[in-house]
Amino acid sequence: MKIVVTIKQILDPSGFTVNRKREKVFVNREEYIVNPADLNALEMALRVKDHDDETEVVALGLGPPRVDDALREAMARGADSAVLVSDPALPAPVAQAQVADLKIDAHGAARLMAAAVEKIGDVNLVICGTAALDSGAGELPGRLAEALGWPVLPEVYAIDELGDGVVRASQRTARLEADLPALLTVPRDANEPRHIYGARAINAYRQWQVVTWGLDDLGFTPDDLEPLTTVGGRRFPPKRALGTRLEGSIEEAVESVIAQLRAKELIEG
Amino acid sequence: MEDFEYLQALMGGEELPEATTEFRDIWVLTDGGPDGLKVTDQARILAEALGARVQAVLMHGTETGDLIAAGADRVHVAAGGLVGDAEAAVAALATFFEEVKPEFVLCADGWLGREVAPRLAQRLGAGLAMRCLEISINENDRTLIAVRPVYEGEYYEVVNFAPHWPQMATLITAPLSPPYLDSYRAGETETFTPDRSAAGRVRVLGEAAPPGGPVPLDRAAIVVSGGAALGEAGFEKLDSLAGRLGGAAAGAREAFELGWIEKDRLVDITGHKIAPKLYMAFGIAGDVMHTAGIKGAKFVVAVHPDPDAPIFAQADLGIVGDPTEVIDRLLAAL
Repeated sequence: MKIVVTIKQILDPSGFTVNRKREKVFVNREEYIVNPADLNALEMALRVKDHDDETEVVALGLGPPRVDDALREAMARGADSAVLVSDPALPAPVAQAQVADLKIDAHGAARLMAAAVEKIGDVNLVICGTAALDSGAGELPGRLAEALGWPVLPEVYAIDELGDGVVRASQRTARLEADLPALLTVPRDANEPRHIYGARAINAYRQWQVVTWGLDDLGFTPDDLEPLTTVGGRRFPPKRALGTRLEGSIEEAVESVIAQLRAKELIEG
Repeated sequence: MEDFEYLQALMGGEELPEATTEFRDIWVLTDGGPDGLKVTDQARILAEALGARVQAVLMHGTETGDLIAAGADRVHVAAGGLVGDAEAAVAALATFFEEVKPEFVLCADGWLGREVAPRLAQRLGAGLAMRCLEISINENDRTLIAVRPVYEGEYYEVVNFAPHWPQMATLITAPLSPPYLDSYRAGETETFTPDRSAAGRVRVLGEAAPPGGPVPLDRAAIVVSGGAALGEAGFEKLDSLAGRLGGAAAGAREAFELGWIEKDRLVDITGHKIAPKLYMAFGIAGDVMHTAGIKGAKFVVAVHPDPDAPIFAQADLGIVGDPTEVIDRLLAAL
């Protein structure tokens, strides 16, 4: 079984502060982390590998050379190898806080990553985090599946069975099945990602190499990747207002709380 | 001619450039629910500025009256419905849209927005802005401008579209006002037979076993938490509330000292410092140690019998009253 896990590197949200009054994002410390849900995706792949020595887990990233670091972290956690799609013609696509950098959109990223999955070869399963913490959209997994022509099992909490050309997996409420190859997405609360092994960390950072492919290697030119959408600026939400004390009976207050939480999409229903 | 332009400017009738491509109209995807009506309402507003029509694709049921009242000029009913199976829906909509060539495609965030829209966009070679709070049209070239939250709403980004159609967006519908329904509005209804060639690529086997174990505190989107004024008996109810909301149960220092919770459930500057989307504090007075632990919380609801409890200064919504009673009522209502 060969599993590709997509790894996105994002700007660490604890390294910047948003000043709503001055309408600015202050980057105090430009540090990058692996998108949290991608670590849950990696954990899901590693759990398959725990039970099957034949399973190979490949971490796949896209972006500028610094994404190398995120892929080494994936190897330190247990991925067998890592591929970075990077090209000087593709300037920094991942740092949301620096909007001017965005030169590739999800449409192009999906096509590039699909080409990389095909070049890796004989991949049975791609596992992605359901959404990235920065964009919060969850656009790439669906687009990638479509670029590959594969079915999607969304929001999977556990893989129940994998083999004989099918994958069976559990969502929160339903169990699903699809023929392989397929793409799975994993939400942030699906599992507890394992820690980095000391020995692996030393190898991952000192010895092992991340394979880097440019646009040429994947048969693309920059013109093929002309973005359909670009980020053109920022807006700021209104300042946090002073809280409201709900008057009236407890019954009315509870009703009002539920209505407001639903309106803000903080609770479902 | 100059007079006419002057008159037009005076009347505020600045028209957008006409569509120069073969792509026409604003199309709304809907499962027939209230979210679809809100999106249709937004589409109607954009369509008036664009001089375009609103066409809706009804993917569940055959009730077209409200869609027309909300602004649809034509409703295309998918015979047999198209919800539940994203594989089938994507393939069927792609086939349909390749023929009718929409200028814009909109739908609500939700099943359609998350599982269908990105894949449909890739099939159609369309740009997409997901989970938008606001959409408008660029007057120069009829492209879409979308505003959407990033980093869980820390700030918003503005998404511009290249002059390439179709252009797609999904909308967060909760903050939108209820649609204006005009029951005198006229519209047409058509039925089409969806291409079902991709049905059954993903098969539902049955119900999943309930997810094992509680949600880890530091990754829970919702945390419900108790303090001294909740009482030990209230903590069991807190667990059920956490389960109901798909969140985690926790407690303040008093609850830990009284032995009602384990240390791994402690929210405090010495325990977990958390940043959930929603934090609900039941019977927690809210001293500095506690509020430092919840500084990152995006929305705080506080319930405490003491109207002067400091927690209310940190809360977006506060209820003065018995926390156990509030939990009971929440459990009954959710």
